[in-house]
Amino acid sequence: MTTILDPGPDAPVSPDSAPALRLRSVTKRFGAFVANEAVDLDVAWGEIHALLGENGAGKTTLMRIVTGLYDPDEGQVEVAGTPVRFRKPQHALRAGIGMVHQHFTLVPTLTELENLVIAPSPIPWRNGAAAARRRADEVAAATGLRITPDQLVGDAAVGERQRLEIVKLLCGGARILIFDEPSAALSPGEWDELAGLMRRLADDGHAIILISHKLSEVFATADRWTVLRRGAVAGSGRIADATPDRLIELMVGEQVAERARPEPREPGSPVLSVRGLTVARDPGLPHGPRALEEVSLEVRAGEILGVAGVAGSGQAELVEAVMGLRPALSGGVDLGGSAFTARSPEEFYRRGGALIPEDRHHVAIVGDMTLWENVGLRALRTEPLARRGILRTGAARERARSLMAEYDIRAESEVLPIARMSGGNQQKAVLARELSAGPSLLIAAQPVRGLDVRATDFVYRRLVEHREAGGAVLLISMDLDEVMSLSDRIAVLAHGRIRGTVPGGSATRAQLGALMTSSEAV
Amino acid sequence: MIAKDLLTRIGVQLAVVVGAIALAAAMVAAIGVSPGDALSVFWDGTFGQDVNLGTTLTQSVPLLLVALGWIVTTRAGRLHVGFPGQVIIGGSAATAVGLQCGGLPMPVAVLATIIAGALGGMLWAAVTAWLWASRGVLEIVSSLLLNLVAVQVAAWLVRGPLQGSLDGQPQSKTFPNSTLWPAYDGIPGRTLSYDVVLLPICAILVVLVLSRTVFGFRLRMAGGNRDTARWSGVDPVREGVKAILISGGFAGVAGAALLFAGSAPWMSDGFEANVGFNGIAVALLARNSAAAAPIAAIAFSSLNVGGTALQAQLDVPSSMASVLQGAVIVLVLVAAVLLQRRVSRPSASAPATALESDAKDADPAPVAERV
Repeated sequence: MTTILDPGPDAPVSPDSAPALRLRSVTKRFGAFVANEAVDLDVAWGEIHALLGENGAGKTTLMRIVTGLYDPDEGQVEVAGTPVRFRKPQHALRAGIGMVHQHFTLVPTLTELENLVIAPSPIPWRNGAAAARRRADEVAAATGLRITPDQLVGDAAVGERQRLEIVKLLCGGARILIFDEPSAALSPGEWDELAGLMRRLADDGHAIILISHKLSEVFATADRWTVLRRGAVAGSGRIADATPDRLIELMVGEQVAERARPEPREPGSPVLSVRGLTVARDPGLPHGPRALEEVSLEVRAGEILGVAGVAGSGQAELVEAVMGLRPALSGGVDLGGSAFTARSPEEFYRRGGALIPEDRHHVAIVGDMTLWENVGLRALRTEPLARRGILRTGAARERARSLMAEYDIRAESEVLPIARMSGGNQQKAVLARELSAGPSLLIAAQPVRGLDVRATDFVYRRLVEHREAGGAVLLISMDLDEVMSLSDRIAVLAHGRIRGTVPGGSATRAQLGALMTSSEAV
Repeated sequence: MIAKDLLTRIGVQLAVVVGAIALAAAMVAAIGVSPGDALSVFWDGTFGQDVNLGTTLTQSVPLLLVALGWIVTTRAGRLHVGFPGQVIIGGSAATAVGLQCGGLPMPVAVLATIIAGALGGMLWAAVTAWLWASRGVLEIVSSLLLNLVAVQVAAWLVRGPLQGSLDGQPQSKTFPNSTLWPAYDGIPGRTLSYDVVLLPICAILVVLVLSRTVFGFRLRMAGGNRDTARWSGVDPVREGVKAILISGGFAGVAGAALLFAGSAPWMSDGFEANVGFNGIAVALLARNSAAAAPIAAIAFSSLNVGGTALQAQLDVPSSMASVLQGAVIVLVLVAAVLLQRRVSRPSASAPATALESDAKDADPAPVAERV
């Protein structure tokens, strides 16, 4: 195991102040499995500390110890020099430690403002909406993070929800902020804004822990880094002294091969055509605001069409309208060469569609069902895995095992409930299910959200392979690098309109960024 | 690991049994009856004598049917409490049909009562299902209120259209012999109806349908995650409606069993005898497992039957049996919660999970849901 000597925090700290957070030999076991082994970590006030590692390296477990969700088996946690032992997450909050989770902790049936109100407030007997609104305004003034107070969280896009999470913590007075994959849901512009915000918070004396799989972000924002591998610290040091290759090597224990841009090729006939699709933001209000306005696009066989845009530009509505989960006010969809008028998910799949949805937790898996049942969520309902209404469980489990091998899904067995698997493996299971159906069209929305370097690479390879095999891919993403490195053509969606379509090979960030923020149709 | 899990479960169940017996002993001792006497009377009154064994088993059948209905609905993610009403309407329909079947050969007549019961129960459940599916009326509310309607309907039937007793009592005519469900002749009083074969058959059927058929798979998808079901082409509303109808069918057959395999061969307005709600208790006792439901049903039925024996021979008030039933349910639920804690806290029982997951997705959702 490589250990790099940590030269220690170099951020300006007054000599008498202890580090914001100090972990000493923290060990956490789950039965025979050691999730964290003798982890040491120092985070100073005023620094951004990047915590790196693959999915399953123990980052989340460590952060759960820090935020009071888990009790460490051994070792010590100190906040500002005082040993602490959190029995509940509330204790950690009170000590000023707040975490922006990957899976949001919001109540979807309340408005954004109401979600702020239910957060633990420093003045419990005055948790009125007015106070929360004032706090939110203060935070917005200080940090530029603005919320839409009266929007229902259920109606908010993922990016907006994340913004709300951050505002919630800041309103609660957090001083040590932990960001778990914060950029996963943000557009490049929003990310730049968040990066600036993190820097400002750090300069104000906050301590920031950034968990990210994107090294570009880490190098752009962090002061120091710590890499975890298989639960133990593989190394730590100053960002200024590190290189991306070095960190990747520490994370995965090997070099990951460079992935080449897919070769350009002549696309075939259109698989999916969307013509003039107009969709209401609220299906109950057909005359209200529009989520999509006259959207037209075409995905051809053997082509990856990227849809770029900031969160909440209408991506979710586009997917739902094509699937038939959301009524369209006007416009039409052709799928597989013929008009797809009576749209329903069932018919979508029957015509050769497949979907990797953005929100896999809620719409792609049934947590209590086993891995093999989830992998067979659709296949199990038809021949050959079902005969005359009877499931052929043996064959289905056999198939799941072979898909586990093919798609590198790591689980002890195919009978494990899928909720007990890691996010990366769940995503691979969804990918396996969708691609194994041999679809002609794959809609992939944020397909690598929250995945580590290796899993991301795996998913990208699969998408490109699908394209090479003559399949069509509609790649919806808020990550410009992802869209630019994979797409043959890029359509830019902003405020529910397609602002332009550019060839993937020659697109530049500036060009796309300009389209994403433009208000005029091109 | 799985074996260890199972051992824990069995251990907990045994603890529940011991706890229940201890509690019962304390209760009878408190009213001045020797626990030893009580236990021997209870045993004789439930399993020890053939006559009583027959009664215990026969009375467990309607409980089981209702419990299976509950289990099917919860698997589909629905929750309704309309079993009493469905039992009553099912029984009434079976009565109406059975009274017309005097001339038919016995198997046909019996089958007719079963089908009529199932259809009656389904009809009543259909009202709930329709209100929920088309109008969004919460099924738990509509079914609860429909129970009250069903009670009044039955009261009217036995005083009106179905009234048939010569002295004007609110009860139907005596059922024709050919419609009475066959019973084992070797036991005096013919207390053991052959419908006890439904105990294993129905339980196994439900287990298999849920785990091994496309029908059950769709049902479980809808119950496991509504949105995932919708997004992959399964309409959760449709599955919910099916499940509610099936549970109504089960409850309706339970109503028919209460009448045509019961002690009195006619319908009176109190025939439901709380089977509808007790069946839910049986499902809870079986922790919503169809495989465990028959045992839970027999255990629950023995508490009913044994309670009567205790009252007759030792003057123990029959409400004591009800108290004990309640206590058993609470014990089981407490045990369930304790087991859940053990499982959801990724401690010794979940190493396999953590191995791959860094427990990232194993936990936060449940935590959020609990809040």
